[in-house]
Amino acid sequence: MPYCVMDKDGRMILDSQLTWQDRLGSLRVRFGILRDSYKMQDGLYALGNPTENAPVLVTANYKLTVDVLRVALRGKNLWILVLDTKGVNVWCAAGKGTFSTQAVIQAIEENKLLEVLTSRLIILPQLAATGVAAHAVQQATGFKVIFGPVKAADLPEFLDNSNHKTAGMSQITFPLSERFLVSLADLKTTFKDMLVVFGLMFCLNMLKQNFFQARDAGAYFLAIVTGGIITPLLLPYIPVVAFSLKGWLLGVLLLLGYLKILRMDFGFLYLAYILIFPAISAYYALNFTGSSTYTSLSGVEKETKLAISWLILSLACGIVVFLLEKGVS
Amino acid sequence: MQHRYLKQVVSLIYNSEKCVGCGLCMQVCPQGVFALKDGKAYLIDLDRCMECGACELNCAFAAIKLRSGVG
Repeated sequence: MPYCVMDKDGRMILDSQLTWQDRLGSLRVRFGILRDSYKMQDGLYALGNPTENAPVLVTANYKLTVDVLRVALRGKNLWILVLDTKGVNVWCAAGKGTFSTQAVIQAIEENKLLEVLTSRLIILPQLAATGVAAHAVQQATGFKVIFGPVKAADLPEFLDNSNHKTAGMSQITFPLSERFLVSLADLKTTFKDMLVVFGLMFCLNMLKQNFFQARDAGAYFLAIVTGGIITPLLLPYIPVVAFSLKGWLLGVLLLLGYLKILRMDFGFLYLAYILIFPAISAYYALNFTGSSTYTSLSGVEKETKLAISWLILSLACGIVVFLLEKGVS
Repeated sequence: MQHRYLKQVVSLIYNSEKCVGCGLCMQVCPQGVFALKDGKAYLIDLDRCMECGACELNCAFAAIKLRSGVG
């Protein structure tokens, strides 16, 4: 059964059971294939067999979001109002302006909720609150608007508890699994950078043989993985708050291990490595502030201002030392 | 384990005189910045604020001002 069918009254029905097509689609999106086209038809859907008085849950038309909602609400009888957020998830859509006060009001009007339903309760996902002013929707439509939990998984408990949130339901978390997935999503751009650098190394090697060696490329690769993946994974366990510093510390630590394995003696090259590669790790770790769920714009601006000049200085000194070493030997 | 970021950088300004204690800021804040006491909101942990702007937008009494943006 497809995820959306019409019943005899012409209502769109959402099935709370995921099909293999749904699961395959999720995998496809996770791996970034045709990600942009993974949206679904907006409109009012019936989940289960809701009465006219059942509450209305509002969500985005990113299909993965709707899938999570379907599964979380298995066995419930509710209305789901899907907004056209251009296939973007709730939080990002609220930030970008497609999940807005106006969009909610418009969807309520277009789907004629006042006529179709006797229910006058709208439940918004909490993360839509950056885009939707509940009081403004209430004023414009007459619907009582409340914010539900951050996570769809908490919805059954929330609904059974007469729409009250426990303290934990309001808080956004950033667990290991999510940090891992988000860091992987960032890899695309990171690998593009890497191709450019490897290409540059290759060209320079054409000019001067063995200018760069495998150990240089290896250290660079390690630096990227350290800043882009390992730092995000270990984020709360590295005992400093600035992301760049987290990346730099881990960068130094892992680089020292790498140099130990290479049995490199302390000298110009060693010094160049210490100056160059932890700075690269720090840069990618700093980049991860854009993917984290708890950094403020003011904080990131302050950190970036402070960190970037140090990182560039370190990188520049490192390159000079590296070139000196090449000239010396 | 709780994540923490830089301290004393947040741009949020809360005017308790305008607050009527509806508690909506508490409902929408994903970081637990607000709590209620004696019929008013107060800042229990300002440094956790990520400047998402949800509280400012949802305060019908304009008691909260901040410079929001994605960090």
